[in-house]
Amino acid sequence: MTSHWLKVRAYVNLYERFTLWLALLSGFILTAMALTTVVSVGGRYLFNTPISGDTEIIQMLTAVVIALAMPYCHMRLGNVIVDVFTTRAPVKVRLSLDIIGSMLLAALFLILAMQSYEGGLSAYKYHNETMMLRLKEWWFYMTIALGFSLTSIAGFIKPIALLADYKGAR
Amino acid sequence: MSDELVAGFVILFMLVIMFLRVPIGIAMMLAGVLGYSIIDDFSTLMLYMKGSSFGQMASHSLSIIPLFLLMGNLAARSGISRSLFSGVNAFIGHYRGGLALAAVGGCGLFGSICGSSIATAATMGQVAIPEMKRHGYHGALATGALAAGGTLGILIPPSIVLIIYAIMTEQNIIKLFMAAMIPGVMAIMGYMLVIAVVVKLKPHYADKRQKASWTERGKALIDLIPATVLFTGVLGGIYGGVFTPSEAAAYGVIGTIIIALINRQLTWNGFLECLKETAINSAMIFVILLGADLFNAFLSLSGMPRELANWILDSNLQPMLILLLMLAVYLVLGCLMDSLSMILLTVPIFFPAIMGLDFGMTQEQTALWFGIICLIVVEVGMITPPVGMNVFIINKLAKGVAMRDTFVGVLPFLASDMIRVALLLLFPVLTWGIIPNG
Repeated sequence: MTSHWLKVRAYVNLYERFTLWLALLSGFILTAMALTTVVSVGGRYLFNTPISGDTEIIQMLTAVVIALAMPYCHMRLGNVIVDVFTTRAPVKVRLSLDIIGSMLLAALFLILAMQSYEGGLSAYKYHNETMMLRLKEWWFYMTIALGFSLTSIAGFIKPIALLADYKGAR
Repeated sequence: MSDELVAGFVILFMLVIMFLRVPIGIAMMLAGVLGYSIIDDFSTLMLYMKGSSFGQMASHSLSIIPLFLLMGNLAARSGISRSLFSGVNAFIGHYRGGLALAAVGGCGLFGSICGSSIATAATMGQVAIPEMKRHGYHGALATGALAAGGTLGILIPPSIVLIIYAIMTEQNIIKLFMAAMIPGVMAIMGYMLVIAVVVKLKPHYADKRQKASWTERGKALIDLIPATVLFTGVLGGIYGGVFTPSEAAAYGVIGTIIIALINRQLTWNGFLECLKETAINSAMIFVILLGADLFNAFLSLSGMPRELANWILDSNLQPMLILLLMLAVYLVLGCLMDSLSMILLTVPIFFPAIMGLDFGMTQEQTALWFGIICLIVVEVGMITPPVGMNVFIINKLAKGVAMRDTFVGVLPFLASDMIRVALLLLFPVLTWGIIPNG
């Protein structure tokens, strides 16, 4: 029984590892955004040549940064909860509530992912682009849909890890 | 059932599941989905959701949030906090309780490069608490000063909560940052005064030390230069109109990396750690933002905020009384929730009501004033039981100080917070007065 749990737990760990890489990628993109802005502002003041459309790059990349960070945030249970009322509840109760919370997150992010995907399809159909750089909006819709789907998966499998830890602790 | 009644029930349901450990953002999302579907229908909501996440996340004005978070996380590992603490310490450390004074001063300065109170408390705590322990400071004073000092992180701009408030209420971020300046200075002075009074009444709480020599002071000043360049660049750049707020945040990120490299504090692994923390913090905030977006879509559909505003207007109650009632709600909620969730949850309901009332100011002045007062009051929740995040973090850092001592130590600082709120309520000019043509 225990070895079975350990095995499943290992798969969840693998997924967490994967989301960690995405989170780091998100961080590198964020750093690159900062660098782009600094170079652009410097260019604007020093040489009167800012990077054209830099605000569009920042705007779109913000979506990417956040979408890639979300799955890891849930794998690490980074989302804020109110735990004042349940600190004295038995471990089993808290575990059940956390599993329900994680499942709700999974379900809602699944809807969000599906709708962002739909939104991406319409953006593709109507050739929505940003004003200056003509960046295709549907790329970013799809990145968001991908990030949300991975977050939804995180919501579905995190309970396995929680359960495995509970069984392991006993 | 009327739409407003539905809204009431859905909000109640949301609070119940929130208190049952459902993540706050998810509870808001679920409430939004349920409420919207009941009042209108599910398919309209689905249409709305096609574009709403993109609209929330692909946002230039919100890019400032991950950027400032990254800057704060980097600053925490850059050795800046140590130089701030020792810099202030060289000048005021010789008074009784001087280390506590320096910790509060350091928190204030660190607050001007960091937008979150937990990060400020934790970062300054790591530097200041061991020092205070070494000099035999009483645990209550040491931990109380830092837990309270941490709240300066959010009050003194840049401030994540103020940025969110600005975006929600369509106020100018720069003006809000300016409006927080005097209250921020008042907070630092108030906390320092508290320390002075406490050590006067209980001299055994802290020792007195030798005055630093002028060479030591000179050296401390030189150490302060990088941090000073950083925050005058960030805040001065914003106020002076050189940078937009998100440009300033970007400058802050790169500047902090450079300082950390010069101080030889930032390792590759440390940098990756910063990126990880930033990812978690930013995602957490955006989950709440997405939740608040759906919740607000439902709320405005229900017409509940408008009804409430009308009802308040018709009730002929004193505007100040209504404001005090709202602040009381914040104090209660603050005992349960974090500041950001509270602001996102209540501002859509309270803000229209406040704007409908006559406080004898322009609309913009009222909005700025209300924002600053809310910010201070929600921060009080960070240092009150049972949730008081700052208190827990500092207490954990201090190892060996009883939780009770920390909470008792925080009390006089809370009193100073209350006095400051009262002053700001009586003299709103303290907030927007500093703004040119405000």
